[in-house]
Amino acid sequence: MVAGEPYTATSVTPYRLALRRLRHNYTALFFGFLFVLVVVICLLAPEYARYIAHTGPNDQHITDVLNINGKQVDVVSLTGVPIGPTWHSRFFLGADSFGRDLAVRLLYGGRTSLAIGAMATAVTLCLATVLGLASGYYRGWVDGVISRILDIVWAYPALLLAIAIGVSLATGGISIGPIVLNSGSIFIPTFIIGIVYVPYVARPIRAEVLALREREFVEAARALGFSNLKIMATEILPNLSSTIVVFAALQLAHSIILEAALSYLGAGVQPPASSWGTLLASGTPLFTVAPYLTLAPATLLVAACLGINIFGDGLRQALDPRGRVGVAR
Amino acid sequence: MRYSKRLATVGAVGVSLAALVAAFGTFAAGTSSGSPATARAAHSTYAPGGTLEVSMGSPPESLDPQSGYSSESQEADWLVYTPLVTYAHKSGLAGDTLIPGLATALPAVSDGGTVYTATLRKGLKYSNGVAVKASDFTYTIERDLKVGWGGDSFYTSNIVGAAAYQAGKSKTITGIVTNDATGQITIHLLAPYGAFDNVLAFPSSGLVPTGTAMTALSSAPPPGVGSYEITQVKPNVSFTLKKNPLFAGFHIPGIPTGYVDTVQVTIQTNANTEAQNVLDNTSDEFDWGDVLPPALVAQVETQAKNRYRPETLAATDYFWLNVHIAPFNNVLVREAANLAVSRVALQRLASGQITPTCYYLPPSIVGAASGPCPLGAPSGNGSFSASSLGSSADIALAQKLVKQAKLVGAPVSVWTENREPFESFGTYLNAQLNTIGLKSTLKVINSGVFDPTIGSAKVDPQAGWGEWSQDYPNPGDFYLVLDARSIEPVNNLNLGYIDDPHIQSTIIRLDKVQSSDLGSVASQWQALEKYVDSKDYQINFGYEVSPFFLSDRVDFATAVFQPVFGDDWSTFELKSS
Repeated sequence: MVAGEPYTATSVTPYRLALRRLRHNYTALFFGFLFVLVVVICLLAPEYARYIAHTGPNDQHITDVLNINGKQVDVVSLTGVPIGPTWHSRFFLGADSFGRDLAVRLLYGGRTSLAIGAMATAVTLCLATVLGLASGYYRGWVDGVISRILDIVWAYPALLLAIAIGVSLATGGISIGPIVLNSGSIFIPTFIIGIVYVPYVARPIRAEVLALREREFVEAARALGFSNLKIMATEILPNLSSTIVVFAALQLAHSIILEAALSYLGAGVQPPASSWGTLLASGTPLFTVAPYLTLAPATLLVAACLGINIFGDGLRQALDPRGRVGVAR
Repeated sequence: MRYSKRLATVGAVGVSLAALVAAFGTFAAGTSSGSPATARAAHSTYAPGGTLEVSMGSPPESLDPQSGYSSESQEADWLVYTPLVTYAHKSGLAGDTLIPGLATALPAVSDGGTVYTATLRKGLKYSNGVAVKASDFTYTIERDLKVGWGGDSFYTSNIVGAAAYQAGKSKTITGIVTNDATGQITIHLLAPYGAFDNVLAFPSSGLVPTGTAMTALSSAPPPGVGSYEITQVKPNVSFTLKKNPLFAGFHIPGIPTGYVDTVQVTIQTNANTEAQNVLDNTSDEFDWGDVLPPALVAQVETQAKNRYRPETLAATDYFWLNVHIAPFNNVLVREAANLAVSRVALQRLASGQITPTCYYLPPSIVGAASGPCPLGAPSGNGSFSASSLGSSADIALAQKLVKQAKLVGAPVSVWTENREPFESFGTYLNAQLNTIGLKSTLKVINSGVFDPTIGSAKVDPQAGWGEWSQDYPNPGDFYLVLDARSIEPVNNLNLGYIDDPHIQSTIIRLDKVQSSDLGSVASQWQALEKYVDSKDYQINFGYEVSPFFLSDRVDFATAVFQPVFGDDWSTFELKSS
């Protein structure tokens, strides 16, 4: 509580308090809504393709001719330039150079990008939490080994490391025992992104665990004879939850952006599957004659990342125990 | 064309006038024969000298003539390493004509086509001043085999003793006999090979001094006999061709001594940047091996119409189908794949820069076929128009054929490289194969390792994009990819693993016909084309069209687009400053 704040005797949990703070952060709520909106329209991709565009994400219409306002128009011109936005149900945002409906691919691509972002974030958080907990709690040689491994991964810029792994797996896929991922699997970029970001999350968690393990309630748990695992699970992990929640939101934005970068460079999602990154890559060479091919995926990418990023920032402020409570406003 | 004008002038005023002009010191600036005076009057704004700025889309794999096999390598090496015979420095079909290079005349052929005899010109010197000897030819071919030139089988499968030399079983190639005193070179062949003159015209047959290191000298190529010499090689970045001052003194008819002093070649892998630079005149040439980006085609056609023309190449784009494994070992599935591919759609993916076809041999090659495509003749189909294939009716028929073959859902991998439009070609085929009922996945490989990857028997790829660009203007060269003898465990050329007795016997029979007599067997090559098409062995879809696109600094009217080697820098003249 900040000096000067009105005192309230009402007993509220930290999360309820955070929710109250968040409800008053209209900027964060607006951008959170924007992100949810992007997610919802991407989830509706199959319905849009089936009932409105009447074509699938990989259906090619290179030699098709459309009748637009009484005029016959090639979906792809003789020199390879695709049709622009028709603002009709078919090719609403135009077509790509294969005569594929851009709006359909944009929504399907969004599903891929968001799914990879979400799964990669889950991978990052799970690994980072386990490693950060173990490293910070046990200290000593455990901390030494884990920290050095994290240092090695951290030493490589995330994008370069992801490209290096992505390119090497883009052709042949990977096979580890019973786990086989073919080259086109979205789990390859998912795991790459998930792993390269682990040090960025594990380090702050370790630092927080180092502080928490010295707190009185942990000392009390030890005195009561709790095992180390039980202390970590029941005493320390709950105190990390707000940190993890904030990281989840921010990391989701990072993962979506890294997926787009990897796919743009050919080391992420492999064609003909679409993602916002692959759509950006295929649109770039035609930017001067068909800018919508680049602008459309870029707009959704920015909307999704900005939305989750600013919402995540709002979440961080709301969960900050030193933040303004604001419940009286 | 400047060179033709000069020949005409020679015819009109005779050798004495040429000598007179030479005496005035302007002779060396242009070709080694003819009077530049008349041409100079017609093109007074252009002058010899200066630096030609060339963009190249892909780096040459090596500029050492006995190592570089790619078109980028040969484009430069052709002007630096003149062989015994070479091609006319002319545009169009005239450029397919063989002319004497370092030899005094085209080789005499005897003993039923198994002995080739040529004589070196007198007084030839390498760019480093060392005299050329007849025995250098033997050394050059030996170097081809030791360094591992990509087309070394042209020598080992034809010249007596070449294979034994390569295998280390002899110290020299016994089938080549030379006499340094007379300059005579005699080559004994294992069997008649009609296109052997063309083999002698490879830049890899261009002479290098005896004693040149038997390793690839990619960063510092050896001296040669040519209008230019290679200097300042920065691998994968740039290289420079500098005019060879000695070459003008050899007076070799038909081989220009070059106009510009320097050709500065810079690797520019971004085709957009490359095209924009030529549009803006900051670069003088768009690489003919690249495809104009769709975004710039209209702009180039309008803004640069007086310095751009599309040139149909003797090169065919096709999809190979591996016929020794499922599902393409089934002719019905091959036919289905052929029917499903719209050649017009692929033309659009190539920005309009291919000509749709279903046949393999390009129109400029003897034996090229035309007319309806006899696809699937064995199954009773067999008459399609190349420009209407891939229609909804064809797709329906294709789906029916896959069902008939009981191969619905059969897995297929489609391989292509990550350069456009080739990646788009692969993406298109992948989608079409899925449409007709197969379960296709796309594998996109870095262009630098694409050929070795798909050419490995360990990979054993099922289908993918392929391109054959002529090594020399002869149908036999194109049929290397359908020749069972080309099936190799590594660097395999016959990616379809096609081993058809009828094709084999025909190739072996027609390969013996001399290049000069090809016209007499044109109908037999055409019949073979129809046979291959009817068996659906591969999906031929386009003859490549190349952009001949120069800056307005270059005299476009006289610049030569040579059909075998592309942009002929030795004929490019720059505006005088």
